[in-house]
Amino acid sequence: VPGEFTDFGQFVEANLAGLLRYGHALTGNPHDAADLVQTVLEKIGSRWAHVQRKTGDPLAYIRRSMANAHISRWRRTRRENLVADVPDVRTGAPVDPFEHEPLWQALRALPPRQRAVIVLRYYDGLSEIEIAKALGVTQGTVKSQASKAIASLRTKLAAAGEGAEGREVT
Amino acid sequence: VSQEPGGEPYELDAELSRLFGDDRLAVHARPGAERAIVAGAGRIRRRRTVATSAGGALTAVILIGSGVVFGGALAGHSIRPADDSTLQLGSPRVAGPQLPVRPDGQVPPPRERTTTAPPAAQVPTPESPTSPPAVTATATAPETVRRAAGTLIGPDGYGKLRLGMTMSQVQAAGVTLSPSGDGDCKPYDFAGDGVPGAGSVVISPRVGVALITADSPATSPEGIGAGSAPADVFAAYPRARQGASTVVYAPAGSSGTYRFQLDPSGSRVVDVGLENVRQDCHG
Repeated sequence: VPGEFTDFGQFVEANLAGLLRYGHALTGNPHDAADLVQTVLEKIGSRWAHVQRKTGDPLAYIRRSMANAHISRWRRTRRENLVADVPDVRTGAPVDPFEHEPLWQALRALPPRQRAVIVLRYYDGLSEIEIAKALGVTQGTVKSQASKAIASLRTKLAAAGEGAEGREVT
Repeated sequence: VSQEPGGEPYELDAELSRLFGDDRLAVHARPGAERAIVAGAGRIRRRRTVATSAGGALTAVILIGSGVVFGGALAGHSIRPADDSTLQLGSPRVAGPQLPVRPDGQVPPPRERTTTAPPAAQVPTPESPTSPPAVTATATAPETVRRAAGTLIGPDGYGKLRLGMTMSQVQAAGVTLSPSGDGDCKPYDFAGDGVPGAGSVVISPRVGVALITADSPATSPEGIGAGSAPADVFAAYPRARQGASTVVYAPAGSSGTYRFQLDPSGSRVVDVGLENVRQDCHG
């Protein structure tokens, strides 16, 4: 079915940038974002006709798959990645553009499930019920993960604020 | 406690929305990335098709075959691989960007190379049973796996650094740790007399050492390390499984899992990680 792969290619072309950006929000760094996007898209692309038929909205399905894959699978920083043009972490220059953003740093420190809940809520704009469905957990779990995440973000931000006293916080 | 330095209540909701709308979240795709993903999807489908129809013994053949599809697709479009780093990462024996290399260092037989320019988007057909016989032999004869050079890693540690150790146990074993990041599970760079070489480790507050990666080439007891071909990995570990098209996982004893990172073309292992099966760092 050559048409199926042509169609998948067009889909990837249209959505790769958006998915990489989403992956960056989800994982906290561009290397892991690229790895995550590659892994999920390859798997979904290998069943493209099925995924389209079954989900109706492949993009939403892919974003949820990414959230789940991020939670369920270890990802460590890649030295290089086929998909994203990010500098090699071992050659020197740090690559984190949010180095001086306390909120970003606090997000990075969250366990992946809590972080995913925050991203699905504030990036995807999903409701608690939708998040529960997307992650295959109960609404109660979403609630507790979200409140843990928010509490920990607040604590870390407060600590960062104290640490930064005397100089300007951006 | 939830106040900004200025004393104003911290508008966390608004700040999160602002952050997720930030332009700096953009990650730039490499030229050819879309094509590479489509090719990767084709590889996975083909592996699945063959694995379900012909059984696991052919896995190694499939992997080699899939490298050919990738190279062939690129050649058919007269473009270079996703990035020049593909070449830098490959072994010196790599003949050129469009010619995948088999474990014996030879370029593939003409059959693949002269395929009439299959578009990358074309669905790959299942590997025919007449695939390169040399590779089949490798797949069915694990004792012929070529050993990669490097210090020994696995099945449950790297030198005296073992999976599951607490931070103080690690330090007592003659391994020095320097923090390299933040998080619930903390990453450290390690060095010292207790380990064959430097590397990085992630320590979970609950299960201890969760992931070990050596900086210099390291090799599993089965001889898999930097430079090994995917066929070698599957020959050495019949229960290996593929993650992304450039990552292969394999069981390492009862406590660990090897994580073999391949180069962007999927033709060589570039590094070996050892992961604790009980690791809980993914939440």
